Amino acid sequence: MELAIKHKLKLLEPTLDAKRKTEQELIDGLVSGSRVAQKELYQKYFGKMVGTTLRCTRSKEEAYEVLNDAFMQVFKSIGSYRGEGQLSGWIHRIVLNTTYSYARKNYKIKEVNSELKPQDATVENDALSNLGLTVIYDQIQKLPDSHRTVFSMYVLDGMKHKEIAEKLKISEGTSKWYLATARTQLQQLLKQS
Amino acid sequence: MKDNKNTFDKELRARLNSEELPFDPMAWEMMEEKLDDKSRKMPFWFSMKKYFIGGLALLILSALIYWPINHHNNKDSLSQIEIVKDNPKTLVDGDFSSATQLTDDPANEATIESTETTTVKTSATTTSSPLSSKQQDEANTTSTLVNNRIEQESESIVNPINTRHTPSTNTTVLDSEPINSSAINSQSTSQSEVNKNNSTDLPYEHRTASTATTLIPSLSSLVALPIGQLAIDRIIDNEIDIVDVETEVERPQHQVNLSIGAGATQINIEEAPDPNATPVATAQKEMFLSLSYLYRNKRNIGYEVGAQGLVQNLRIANYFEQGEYGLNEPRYATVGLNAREFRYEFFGNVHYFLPLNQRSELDLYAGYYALNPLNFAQGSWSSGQAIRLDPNNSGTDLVRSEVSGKDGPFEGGRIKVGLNYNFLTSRLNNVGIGISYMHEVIKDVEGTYAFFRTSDETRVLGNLSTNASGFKVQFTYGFGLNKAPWKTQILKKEDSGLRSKWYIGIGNYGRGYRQKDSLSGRLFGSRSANANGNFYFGHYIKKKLALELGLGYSQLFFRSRFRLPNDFREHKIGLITIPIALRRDFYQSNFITLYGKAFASTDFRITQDVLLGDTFNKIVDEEKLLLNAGLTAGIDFRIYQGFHLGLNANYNHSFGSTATIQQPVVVGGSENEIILEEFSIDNRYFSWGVELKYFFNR
Repeated sequence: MELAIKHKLKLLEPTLDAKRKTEQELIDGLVSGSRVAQKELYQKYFGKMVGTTLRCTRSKEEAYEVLNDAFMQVFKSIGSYRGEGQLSGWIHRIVLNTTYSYARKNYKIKEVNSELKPQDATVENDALSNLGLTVIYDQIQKLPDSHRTVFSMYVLDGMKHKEIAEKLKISEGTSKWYLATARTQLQQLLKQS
Repeated sequence: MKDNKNTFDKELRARLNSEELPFDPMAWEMMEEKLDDKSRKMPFWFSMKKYFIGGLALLILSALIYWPINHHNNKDSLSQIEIVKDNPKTLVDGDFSSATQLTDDPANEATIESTETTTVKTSATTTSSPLSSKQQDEANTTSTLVNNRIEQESESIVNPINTRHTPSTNTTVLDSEPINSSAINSQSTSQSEVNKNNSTDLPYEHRTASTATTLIPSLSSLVALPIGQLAIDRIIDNEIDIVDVETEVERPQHQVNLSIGAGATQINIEEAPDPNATPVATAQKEMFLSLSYLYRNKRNIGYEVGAQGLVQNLRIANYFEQGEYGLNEPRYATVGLNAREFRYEFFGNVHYFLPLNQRSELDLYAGYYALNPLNFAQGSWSSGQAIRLDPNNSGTDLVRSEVSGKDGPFEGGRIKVGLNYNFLTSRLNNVGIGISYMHEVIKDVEGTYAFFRTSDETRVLGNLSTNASGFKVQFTYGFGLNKAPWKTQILKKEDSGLRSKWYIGIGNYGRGYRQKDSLSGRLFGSRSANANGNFYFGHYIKKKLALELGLGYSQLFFRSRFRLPNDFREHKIGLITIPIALRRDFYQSNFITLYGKAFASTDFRITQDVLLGDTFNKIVDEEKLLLNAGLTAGIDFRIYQGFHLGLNANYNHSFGSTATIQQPVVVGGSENEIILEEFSIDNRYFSWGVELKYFFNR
């Protein structure tokens, strides 16, 4: 079994090498400031990264602005990428940090009375199945800033309430309240659309 | 319910993470605008930045070189000229303090006498050899200065003698020939020799004239000197030290400062849901008055504590057009924030003073301004203002502001950094003007703005906050309270004239370029050494400090990286540079000079030659003028008269890319597809060179 895996990996090596080589050439181009390389990278990772900014902002234009800020950061600091881990992972971290930083700076996320009970969510699982991706993002963007930010961090980025509370400087109770409310509101929005 | 939530979350996560949105060209257009905007802005901002950094670096380097050698020399002479005892040690190394110690200490007298006698004999020998022109000039200058003084004093002694006695040959010497400086310089020698003689052996005229010395004590030794001895001494020693007794006018150690200033502050207004209904900040300014005490523990370090009162003017306003919100006519409404617009701060600053000349200095300072530090009450406050929709109807606010913050001693503060130009008045008071930036470190005043607010409804509601950060200008008057303890009198030795005042030179240098990134660095490859030439002239503004201006030409050779035929690979860029430098000599002798140099120059790109017609290669940026700065260390050897051969090493730092080159790059293996890539070429290098210089006096 082990031998078989090793054999498969060996077969894959030329492909991996070619991929690494292509990626390295792309990075070389970025380091030298080549616009061609910048566009290639942007096109390559746009689809993967834009979702992160779309679900944390109010509009498509705002999402593109944040995404572009993140890519500016990528172009600027590509020299510091040392090839440890996947390039896409490295870029995603930058996009994520830029997005949260933007949300923190631009959206007022206020503390709520933690004694208030979150609204119960009436969850209907079939709400998503018939909707297109763009429609889902549109509905997420309709959520209030605080709700959207917490919801995105918890549901889509897999963060715990404690981490969210630390990042946004709110209490865990507030984070839970925003999440529950956001979930309910989004359900209603998706149902209507 | 919980399962349902989890399922919804998972399903949503799966949808969003597994599916990708298609590429949107609009996003890339926005990105390109951002990239172009950055590169368009870069020359202005970046060049401003680099010129600022370059200028600052040059200023610091110049100060580092200039300060240690000049802070004792930068004084007004009190126009006293004194003649000091001719001490061989003084002549050798100019160390006046040790010279004084030797002469003042009675224990050293015997040593001094014997040494001085030796000097006299040695000097007598040396006077027989022809003097060089420089030495002759020096001797002439010094003897002229001394002769004036000697003639004044000797006249008062000799004239009475002449009136009562037949003029002797000795008096003829005094009257007709200028007495050489050595006559005075060798006071010790003369005195010691006189002491050995029996006083009764003194010529009559000297005994008579000695009464005059009670009026002019300093001439006692001169009068006691046998005239014959004077005649001998005149020719045996022409070395003399003339010193200026100088008093340094300095800053007071204690100073009470009164400052008045004004500047910008900020209101951060969040956009309302309807952008047209977002108010604008119409007043964001402050004025302040401060009283402080400044203590200088050293000439250039000071500590300041004080209190400051300030008034801020913070207002927001909105223009409501006719028809908006049912208004029958347009209305313009403005309200203040009442966001602690009157406040006081206690502050402490640390100052670094950089003397520019006798009376002016640059004052760099930084400190912390604590807001309301004596307010120990804890709690919160709120304030605001409102404009009614109808002055006669209190039911509706057209515009309302509400702000709140915490109370207490640690509620806020500002960091201040500033630069002042200080000028010292004749009464040792200080006048300063300057600019500063204050940054509020704890922003705790937040609030809201509201339009059409009634008890039941608010049509527009948004957030705002205040930020007391911003640039300020200020005027300071400082009352000096005490004389500076570091005020000193020093003896300044006249320039020995060792170094000629002017020089010209030519040089040839090899360079090893250093690029910002390895990719561009590989363009230079083995052809790292690139020759260039310089012509320059310099002028010594101090004995060991020279200002230098030059003109140079250099070429940057580099090669394409990828698989192009050799013919297409080599390229060069020509640069003209105009370096301005400050040269500081650390060691000077007749044959060797060690020096360091700080320089700044501009690169002006003049050519981009392609050696064998590579049409692909081109420079794609437009900026041609770039600032450089660097350091040089070198040694000059005198080879013949004023001619010197020099060796030096340099580091040149360019504040920006000299050229952005679009280079062809072959990709695609056998398909040989050629694409263009951009590389950044920097004129950043280490170099070493040989120079030929000629030093001369005009």
